[in-house]
Amino acid sequence: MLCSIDLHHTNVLELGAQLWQLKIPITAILFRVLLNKPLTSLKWCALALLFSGVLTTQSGNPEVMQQVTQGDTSGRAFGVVLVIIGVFVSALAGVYTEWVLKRRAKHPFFVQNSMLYAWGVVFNMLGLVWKDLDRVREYVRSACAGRE
Amino acid sequence: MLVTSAVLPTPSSTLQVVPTSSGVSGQSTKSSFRGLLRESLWYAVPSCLYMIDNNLLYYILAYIDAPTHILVRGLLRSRVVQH
Repeated sequence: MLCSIDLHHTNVLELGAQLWQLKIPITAILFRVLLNKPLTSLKWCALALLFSGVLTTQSGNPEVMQQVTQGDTSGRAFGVVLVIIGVFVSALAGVYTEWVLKRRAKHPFFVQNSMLYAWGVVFNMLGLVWKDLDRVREYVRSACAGRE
Repeated sequence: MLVTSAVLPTPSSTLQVVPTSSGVSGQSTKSSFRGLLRESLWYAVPSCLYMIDNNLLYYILAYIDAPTHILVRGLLRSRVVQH
């Protein structure tokens, strides 16, 4: 019984993990289109091999997969859509970072990284204020109370 | 990327922390700071994308993993009933 639970668990997670592997071809396509860098046919072959290899090593037991797909699938479609959006955003972020970092190749790498992270701090602060300012206030208040 | 390059200002002024010899020193440091800020705007785009990506991961796990949660709970319950 415990074994079957484990199998189910890994298989549903595999659905997400396998979909996430779409990042490989999408990154390659965005790299080709946005950075305008042609890839040789050998490189395309290597990418296809990598993609298929990752998919085959991560595919699980088909019987268990079938059982899982027969189960409750209420929220999964939305999850799959989110995965596809996430894959695009992730690939775009990677390609854009490469472009931005190579734009000013003479600039010190740590300065560029600091800028990237500084903006990350800014955006995370915005998210903090937007989402859970009250919880942070409560946390700070309790932390101050604990110290005194 | 084409859209952002149209929106973002083209940074003709590069990263110049050292003020140039020409002009008043106060003014030139101000303009170089503005240039730095303008240059750093390029880095705002990927960092925003990375933040979206990281936060999206939690939602994905919540939605992809929710059926698993229900399934495991159901199995455990049936087991408890049997025993």
